[in-house]
Amino acid sequence: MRIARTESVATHALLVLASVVAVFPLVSIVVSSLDGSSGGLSLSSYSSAWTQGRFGSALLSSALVSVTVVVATVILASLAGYALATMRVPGGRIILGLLLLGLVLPYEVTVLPLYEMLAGWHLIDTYWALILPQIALSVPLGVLWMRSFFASVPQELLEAARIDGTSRFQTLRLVVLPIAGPALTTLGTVLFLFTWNEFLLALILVPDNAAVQTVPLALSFFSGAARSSDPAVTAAAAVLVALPVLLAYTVLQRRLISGLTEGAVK
Amino acid sequence: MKSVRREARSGVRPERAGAPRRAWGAAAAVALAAALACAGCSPPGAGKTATAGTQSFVTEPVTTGQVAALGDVTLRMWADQAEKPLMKSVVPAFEKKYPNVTVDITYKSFDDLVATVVNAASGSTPPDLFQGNIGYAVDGALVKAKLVRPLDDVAATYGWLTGTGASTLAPARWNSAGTAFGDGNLYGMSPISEVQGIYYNKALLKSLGLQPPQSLSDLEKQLPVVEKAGKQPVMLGNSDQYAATHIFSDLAATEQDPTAIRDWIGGKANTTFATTGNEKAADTMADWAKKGYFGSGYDGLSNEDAIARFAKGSGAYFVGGSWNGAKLDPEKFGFGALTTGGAGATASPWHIAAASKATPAAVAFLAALHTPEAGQKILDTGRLPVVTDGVRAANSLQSQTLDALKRTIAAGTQVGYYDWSATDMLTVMGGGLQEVMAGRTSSADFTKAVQDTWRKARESK
Amino acid sequence: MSTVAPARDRGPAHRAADTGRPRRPHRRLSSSLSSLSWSSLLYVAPALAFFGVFVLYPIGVSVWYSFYAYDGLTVGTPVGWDNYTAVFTDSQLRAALLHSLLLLFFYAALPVSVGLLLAGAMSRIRVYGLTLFRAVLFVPQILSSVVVAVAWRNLLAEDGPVNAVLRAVGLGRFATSWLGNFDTALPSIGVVGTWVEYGLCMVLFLSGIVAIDRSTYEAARLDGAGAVREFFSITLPALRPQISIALILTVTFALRNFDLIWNTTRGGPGTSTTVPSLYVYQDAFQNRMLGRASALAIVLTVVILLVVVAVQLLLRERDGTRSGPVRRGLARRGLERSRLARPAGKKAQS
Repeated sequence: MRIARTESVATHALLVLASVVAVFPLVSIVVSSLDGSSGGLSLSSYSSAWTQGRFGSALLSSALVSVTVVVATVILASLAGYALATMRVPGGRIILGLLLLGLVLPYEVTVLPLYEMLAGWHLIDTYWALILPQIALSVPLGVLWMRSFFASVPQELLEAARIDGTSRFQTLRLVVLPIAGPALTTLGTVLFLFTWNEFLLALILVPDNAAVQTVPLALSFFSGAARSSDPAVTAAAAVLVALPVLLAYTVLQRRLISGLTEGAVK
Repeated sequence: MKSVRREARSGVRPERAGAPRRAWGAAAAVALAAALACAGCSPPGAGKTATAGTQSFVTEPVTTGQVAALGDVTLRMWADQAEKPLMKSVVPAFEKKYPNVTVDITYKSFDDLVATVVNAASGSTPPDLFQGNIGYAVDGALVKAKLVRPLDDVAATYGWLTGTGASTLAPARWNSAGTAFGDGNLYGMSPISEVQGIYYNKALLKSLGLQPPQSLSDLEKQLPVVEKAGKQPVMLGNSDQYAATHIFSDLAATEQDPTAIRDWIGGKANTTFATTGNEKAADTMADWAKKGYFGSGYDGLSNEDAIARFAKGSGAYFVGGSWNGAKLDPEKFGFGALTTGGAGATASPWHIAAASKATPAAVAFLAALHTPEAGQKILDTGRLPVVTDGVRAANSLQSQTLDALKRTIAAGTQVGYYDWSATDMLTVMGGGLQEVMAGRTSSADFTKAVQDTWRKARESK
Repeated sequence: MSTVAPARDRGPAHRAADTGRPRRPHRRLSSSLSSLSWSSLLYVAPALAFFGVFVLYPIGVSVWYSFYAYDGLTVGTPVGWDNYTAVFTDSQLRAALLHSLLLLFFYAALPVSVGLLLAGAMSRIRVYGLTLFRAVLFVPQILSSVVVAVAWRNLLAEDGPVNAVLRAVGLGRFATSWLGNFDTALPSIGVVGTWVEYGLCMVLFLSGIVAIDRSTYEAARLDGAGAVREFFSITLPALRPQISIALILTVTFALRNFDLIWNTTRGGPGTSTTVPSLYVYQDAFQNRMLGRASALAIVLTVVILLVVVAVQLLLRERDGTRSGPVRRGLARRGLERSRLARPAGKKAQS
């Protein structure tokens, strides 16, 4: 089907405009991060942000925490979303209501009770203090998202599997999940992003263990010190926080697109 | 297959939107049940009685022998990242003098430190030595929960009560309930002081034929001159809401008895903010704003950005504190106080955890910070020490700030900051001043609103 | 070939018939069995266990705190419902809530609309550099709010690029310090929120659009549907689940977000940009009044739930009146193929 050339041009123009608006602030941050103290361009802000903010270990911590949270949540959410969409779960309505509650809650206020609980279990300053609560906080979005995907899976597909004698779990694993690529990737991307940028939990729950601290804390080391830090270094730290996510997203997108074409061929 | 799939797609289940609504009732019921079930609960915090360790009083300076008796020990510390340059020179000397002690410092940005230090201090393994923050939110909470060791014995033993820095200890003195400060037992010590005043652009003033202002009346005469010359008189970045409160406090301090201001900030009963002096200061702010002395758009500019602009040459004056000096070229800028002294205070005080098992080492470390040698290092790293004896400035800007500090301390005008008076005072005062400067609120309503907040804070204690 | 039957082409009789339709056909696999599946709890249990321990339990603790004056350190004093009455009688909080409701437009309505527009436009043509565009358009969502705040403070400054553009096109009289002006600060923060959120919406919608059968579009174009009708007849209805979730997320963000405001205006100038969550944060982490913070957070949660539910209802309502017939038309197409076959050669024009 051919669409008028003018529309293609107009759409591209719109996309270019939107892209300029989208990246302009990032570009301005990059420019200020390169602002050397002597006036010229310089990468010195990056090296001091890297060493002072301990970005090397922070990036590793963040990657570990984010990947674990995303993988665990996606598994938990797929199971629960599948059941809620295709089975009559006892108390299903209440479960959905509670999940919605968890999704909209200003969770700032639950951080201190969480601190007390984890302190009682001696988990403060460990990776668990970051991973466990963030899986739990990601569950509502994950379950609601996967549930709406599973609900849109053609009923005939499930019916056919049932007639073939496939168990419900096998149906999930062999029939439904293989076509869930785009939904899973989108969910994974969004959760990764939320987890990667989570600041308050990291601030409160891992206060005294530099080895476990994540990149938002490394950024806050500069941005939370208005009196003493150098704006160029803060900007460099901000770019260091954003860059890996941007790269991960671009790579994931390729997966997403290839996953799609596979699905279309079937 | 395709048509089937399409059908399923287009027939997206309408109940999806409805489900949460029905479920919401259930959620509300659960929440209510939880609330009712808890009506008979014991109060929160019941299990958290403070574990004030057995404290031996210090009657003479801690000896290396006493510290050595601790065996191999790690002195765990939490510090503002701004202390890093100072610590880099103090810690190696300390570890050399006390070879059995390893100093382990966790640095945090000021915001992060303030948000987490009380939690850490109340935990099962608090740091031995840490920085708090003056006022109720941090220091008050620490004192009230008995998490920090009183330091009166240490101060007496090491002579902090008699030296040049004696009066700077006041903000770390608290009543035992943690409800008023400025007086009472000593719970902390800061080796670093601050002084507020006015920075000026030397070249710009010279080109306009102006002398550095020595007083508020000097400044008031100069502002219109600068304005007429087409330059912005005062550089101000007030989006964080605190920069204008500093200008206000400088103006207010010139009109009133410093003791009265200090009493009000410390929470002394029967004091008030609704004074003619404060109203006059607020009126002056509004007047200057109206005349364009702060330029336009100052509420949309951050304080950091304003300093950066001032450093690059815009604005004849910048009202700020000694901590701003590090960002200014000492050749191009000068500093002066508006009053005989000028407002000011100490930086965040250091506290020793009540539960510390390395108290002698912590005391020895505090003592090492409160020396002329450390004072020199503090000045060298761009800040002002409380111990000023024999400390030498490296340039004219440093010596101007140091002089202002000495005169402030001598004149007793180091009143502290208004926002110490209540945890939400910065918001109330900062936001209120923005309204006054925009001509949306009268100065009388402003001082009344501030006083109301102050009163509510007292009532809630 | 099948086709789309646009709503306005239909007679009144059709529309009348539509209003009485059953809300939902029984499509669920197990619904035919119409008995509860207890074993399904095994699928739900792991997620619920995490959720219960690390979210519900702390919420319960917050509810408990909300009936006390508690500083997190020393023993709390019971105060009954005082913390709640304080929430409802405080005029500053009411003003803050109004600000939040205005922000709903900027934080939720606008990003969803912009996201739909972009996703819709991208779905219709072969986009050159699709990967690049998608990554670039998603950038705002990636940046941490500290950075967003710094960047936008500079953009919106008195002498910033936004005003430079205004002056360049002769609109200099509108130039102002956007975040420092009592009248423009709140909408300006709103625009920043729109900018942050639309990328997320777009990505959610794109993942829905790629799942739409291409032949649906082809059929519509064969039938002469233009871009607008195609969007409202096919794309929008198909995206309902994604729109629903996008709205839950953006509405929640709108009513809960504080760090963007904290890092740009601190609620100022004056109190013109205060929001309730600013007070939650201040009470919990600065004032150490956990009881009051908890009460406010709980009230705020209820408000968010109400708004989310209201929005979902609205969404359903609109669906029933406008795109409902079209959807049904689409659903019926499979059965009506032969009848609706059109003369070949009629090409879609946009």
